[in-house]
Amino acid sequence: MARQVLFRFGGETSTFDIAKHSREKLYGAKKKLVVDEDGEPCLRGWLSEDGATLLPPGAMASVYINERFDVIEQRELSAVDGDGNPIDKLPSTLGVETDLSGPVGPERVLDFQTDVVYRLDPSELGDKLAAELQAGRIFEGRFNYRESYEDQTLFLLSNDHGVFALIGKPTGFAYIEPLAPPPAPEPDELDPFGDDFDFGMM
Amino acid sequence: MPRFVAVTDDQHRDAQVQMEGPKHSVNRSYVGPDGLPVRPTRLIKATEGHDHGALVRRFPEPEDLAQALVAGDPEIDLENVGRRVGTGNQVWIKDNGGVLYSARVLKVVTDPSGEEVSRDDFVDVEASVDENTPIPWTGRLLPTAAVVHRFAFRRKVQLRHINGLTFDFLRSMAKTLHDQDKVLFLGTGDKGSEPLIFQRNGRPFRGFLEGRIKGDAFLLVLHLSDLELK
Repeated sequence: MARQVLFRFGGETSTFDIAKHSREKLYGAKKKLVVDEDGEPCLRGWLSEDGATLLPPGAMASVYINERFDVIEQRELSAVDGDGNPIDKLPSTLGVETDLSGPVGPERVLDFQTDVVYRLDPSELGDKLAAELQAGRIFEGRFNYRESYEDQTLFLLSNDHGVFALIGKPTGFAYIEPLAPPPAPEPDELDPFGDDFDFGMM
Repeated sequence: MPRFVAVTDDQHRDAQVQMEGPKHSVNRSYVGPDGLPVRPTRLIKATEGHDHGALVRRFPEPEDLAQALVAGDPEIDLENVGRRVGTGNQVWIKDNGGVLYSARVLKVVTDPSGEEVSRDDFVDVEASVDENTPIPWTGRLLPTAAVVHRFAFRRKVQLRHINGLTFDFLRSMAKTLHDQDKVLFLGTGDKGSEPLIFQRNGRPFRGFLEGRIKGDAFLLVLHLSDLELK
């Protein structure tokens, strides 16, 4: 059964099926394939620095350990803030009515970096929301695919191709004041494109 | 390491400035059931020679394999399993479990239905953006609302000054865009029509430069899209 999002707006509830909107579905994909001398595909593995241990794919386990080196299962973990106070999990927004606010301006959308895009297929669309989306207005809500410690922001908009939900986080970019010194390089500063290898481009 | 980029303004002057990505600060850590802090690590689950494929090669007959599993633990490398993964290198493993010393890399293209369209030798695609080749001012100004309704911006960088002169340079660009209330389409190549690729074999992006002014302060952000809303 398709996952659904439900929005409350203007006293009406609208319900949409959601499907991830991806480059692969839209443009196709380009993949890198490594083959041996016989043209047979090879798998990515890992070789220890001393050359003694060869790990095939799936041979590593990502786990959490404590200071006693006990392995802690993911379901046993809980989150705390900087002062050590417990943080409550936020419920999933799927299948649950959530409020929409707005309309918001396009600049508000630009203040966020989109992580995921969903194409929304309305199974029940309120007249008021339909009219607003048709007029090009954008609405904001919260989104949480599954129960987690952090919500994301959802922007709902439509164009000639359908209704879309943009899910993202704020960029946190600040205005630069006059006489502000040039940014000092931070030792752990990440290259914004450091993990940007893409073999799915067309 | 900060990343630099060369950009051109509407007066055809170019300058080298700094790019900075979003900073998502998360003030959160995890603890176990006893309240002790935990940290993520990677452990060895299995090693080559002990996986299913290797055991089947060693014991081609199912009865022999079953017998070996009953008699001992050939599926577990007792020496290594449970150790932390240290430093090492990525390698490619052949079907017979051996390490590949001479790799041939192919580019396999599939259409949106997943059907293979072509298979050729992989050719590296070089970055088109660097600190020495100025990205041209294309002059193609587009309404912000139209752009937001058409593209998903999955990468963003803020352009920042590196000295007093580049502060004025960037603020002037931001003011030009702010006053027109539009974003500037950006690409590479002489006409700015080629995609922005920030590293070798990186994703190709369409760029849209947005400028905002607040008093004497400015905000200049390059919004990057590799996905249309269609």
